[in-house]
Amino acid sequence: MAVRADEISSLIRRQLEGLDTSAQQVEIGTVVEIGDGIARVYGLAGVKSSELVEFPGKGPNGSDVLGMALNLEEDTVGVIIMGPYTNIQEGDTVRSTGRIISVPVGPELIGRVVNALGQPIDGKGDIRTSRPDRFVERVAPGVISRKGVDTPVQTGLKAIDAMIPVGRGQRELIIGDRQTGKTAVAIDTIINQKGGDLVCIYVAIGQKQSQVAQVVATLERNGAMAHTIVVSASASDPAPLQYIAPYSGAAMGEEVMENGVQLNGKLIKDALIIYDDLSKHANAYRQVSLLLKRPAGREAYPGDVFYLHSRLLERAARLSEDYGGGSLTALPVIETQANDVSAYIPTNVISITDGQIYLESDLFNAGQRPAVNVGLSVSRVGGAAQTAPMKQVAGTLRLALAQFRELAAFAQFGSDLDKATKQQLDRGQRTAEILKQPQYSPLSFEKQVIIVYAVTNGFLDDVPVDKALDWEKGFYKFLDSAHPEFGKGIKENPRKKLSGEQLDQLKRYISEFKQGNKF
Amino acid sequence: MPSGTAGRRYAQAFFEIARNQNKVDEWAKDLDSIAQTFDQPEVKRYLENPKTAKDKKRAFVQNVLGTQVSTVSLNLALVLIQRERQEYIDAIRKEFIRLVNQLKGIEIAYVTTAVPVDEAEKRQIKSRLSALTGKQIEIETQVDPDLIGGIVARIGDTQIDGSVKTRLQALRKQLA
Repeated sequence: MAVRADEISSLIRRQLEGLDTSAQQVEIGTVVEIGDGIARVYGLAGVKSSELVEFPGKGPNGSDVLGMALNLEEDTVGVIIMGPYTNIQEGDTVRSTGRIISVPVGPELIGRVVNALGQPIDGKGDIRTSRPDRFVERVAPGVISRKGVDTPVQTGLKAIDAMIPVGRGQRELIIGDRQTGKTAVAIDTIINQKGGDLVCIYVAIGQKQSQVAQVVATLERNGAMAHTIVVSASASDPAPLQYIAPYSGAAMGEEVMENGVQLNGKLIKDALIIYDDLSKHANAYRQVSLLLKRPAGREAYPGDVFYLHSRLLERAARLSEDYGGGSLTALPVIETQANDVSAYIPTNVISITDGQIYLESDLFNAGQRPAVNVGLSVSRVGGAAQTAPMKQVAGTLRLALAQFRELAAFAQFGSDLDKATKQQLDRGQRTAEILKQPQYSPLSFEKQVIIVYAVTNGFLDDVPVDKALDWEKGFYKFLDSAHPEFGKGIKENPRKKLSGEQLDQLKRYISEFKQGNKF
Repeated sequence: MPSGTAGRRYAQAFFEIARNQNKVDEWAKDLDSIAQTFDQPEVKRYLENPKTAKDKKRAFVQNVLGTQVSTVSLNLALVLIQRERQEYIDAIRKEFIRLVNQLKGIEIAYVTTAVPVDEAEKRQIKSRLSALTGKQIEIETQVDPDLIGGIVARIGDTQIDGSVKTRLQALRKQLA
C-alpha cells in the first residue's frame, strides 16, 4: 500500500497533537548488581511478583529492555532480564510497568513463529491480535470445569494409536535418549492434524536455531503450518526466555481451549501443545534459580522444580460442556541419558503425566521406527478415548507383542520349536514389522484399523516378513481404488464397533487382494 | 557498605523507645553526636583495634559521650561497642531519620530540574508534591541540563516524571 507524503505528515501532526504531556508517575529502582541475565534492583518497593519492569533505553538502538521481577526481598528485587543485557550497568534506573507478564493470543498467531514473549521472529511482519493478551502464568482449570477424556488425538502412528492411545486433554510424555525420534513423533502428530480440528502449538525450548528452522520447514513442506504456532526459545536466547516459553505456549493453547478460533471455516476449541523439551527447560530454570541465589537441591535443581513442571502440565485439560467443552492436550518431551528413566527430572515428569511413550535407541538402531518400546509405554487414560473399531481390533495387540518378545528371546537358543511356537513367532515378527512406519507419513485411523485387524488375525502369516510393509501399501491402494466405501464406513462411525458383516467384508477383500497379488 | 539490615533492627528498637519516651528529636541529635564521635579517625582506629579490651573501649566511650547524650543513647553506643558493630551507626542513623520522618509524615523529595529553581519555585513544588502525596515534603534539588525542561521528582520509590526529555522519548516511540 502506497502512502503519500502529506498523509504521513498529517499522521505525525495528529500524533504530536495527541501526545500525552502529563507527568507520568512510576515506581523506580536502581540496579545494584548485574550479570548473567540477572539484575538485583534496589527499590521498586511496590512491584508485584512476575511483574514486568523496564530498563529504559538499554536495548539495541535505544529500545527498552524488559525484565521480570522474581525474587521480592526486603531491600532488593531479583529481576530476570528478557533480552540483551550487556548494556545494563550498575546504577541504572529500572521502571516498573504495572503489567504482569502476558503474551498475545488468538487466531492471528496461527502459522507464525514467535519468541517466548509472543513477538514474531519469522520475518512475516507484525502480529496484531484482536483479543486481549493473556497472562503467561495462570492457575490451571479446577475440578468443576473439567471432564473425563473421551475423544482421541489421532497421532497417525500405528504403534501409538493402536496401543498407547492419547485422548484430548491428556498429558502424554514422550521420553527417550537423544536421536530416538522423539521430535519425529511430535512432528508426525502435528502433520496428521492437517485439515482436522486441532490447533497445534510447538514450543521449542533450548534447541539449536537450525533445528527449529528445520522443524518449521518440515511443517511448511507438509502443509502443517496452517494450523500450527511455533514458540521458540532457542539455546542462544537468555535462560529467562527459555524458562517462560512453555508457559507462553500454554497461554496461547488456553485461548484456543476456552474461546476457540476459526480455522478452515470451523470453530475449533481443541489444542495440542508440544513442549520440546522439558529437560532443557529444567536446565534453564536451574540456571535462573542458581543465579537468583535460591538454594540448590538434588542435581542442583531448585526445590520447586517439580512444581515448575506440575503447574505447567496441569494446565492441560478437557473442559466440560458447561465450560465450552474445549481441550488442551500436552505432549511434553524429555530427553534421558543412556536410557535412565530414573533420573530426577524424568521421574518427576513421568509421575505428573498420564502415561509415557518410551522410545529406545536399541529399537531405533534395529530399524524399528518409530522406536516405541511397547512394554514400557503406557497411556493411563487414553483407552477411554480410543475409537471403538480400534479398541476392538487392537485389544490383544500389546499382549501378543509382549509374548512374542519373550518367546523371541527364548528361541534364540536355537532349539527345535514346535509348530504352535513357530506360528506365534512368525505372527509376532509380522506384527512388529507392521508397526514400522516411515517419517512424515501419518496414517488415517481407518487404515490403521484395517491393517491391525489383518495382522492380528493371521492374514499376513503367509507373507514374507520383509514384504509385509509392501503388502500393507498395496492393500491400501487396492482398497482405495476397488472399495473406497469400506474405509469411509469405518471413518464415519468412530464410536461403533465393526459389525460381523463388516468383518466378513474385510476378509473377502483381503482374499480378493491376495489372489491378484503375490508376495 | 555495612549491612543495612542489621542497622535497621537496631534503629527500630531505638526508635520505639524514643517514641515511647517522646524523645525522638533529642535522640536524633544524640545519634548525630555518636556518629560524629565514632567517625573520627583516631577514635575509629582505637575502637577497631582488637588488642584493646572491650572494657577499656566502653570506659572510653562512656567518658567521651557520657555527658553529651542521654542514658539510652549511651547504652546504644555501648551495646554497639560490645558487639563490635560500631560501623553500623550510620545505617542506624539513616533508618532512624527515616522512621522519624515517617512518624511525622515527612517525605524527602529529590527534585531534578533542567535549570536551577529559586525559593519561590521550591515552595510551589513543595506544596504541589504535598498535595499529591498527602504528606509534608522536604525537597532536595539537583540540576541536570539533560532534562531540557520540566522536572523529575523522586519520592521514595516513586518517580513523577514531567521532563521534556521523557516526553520526547515517548514521542519517538509513538512515531516509530
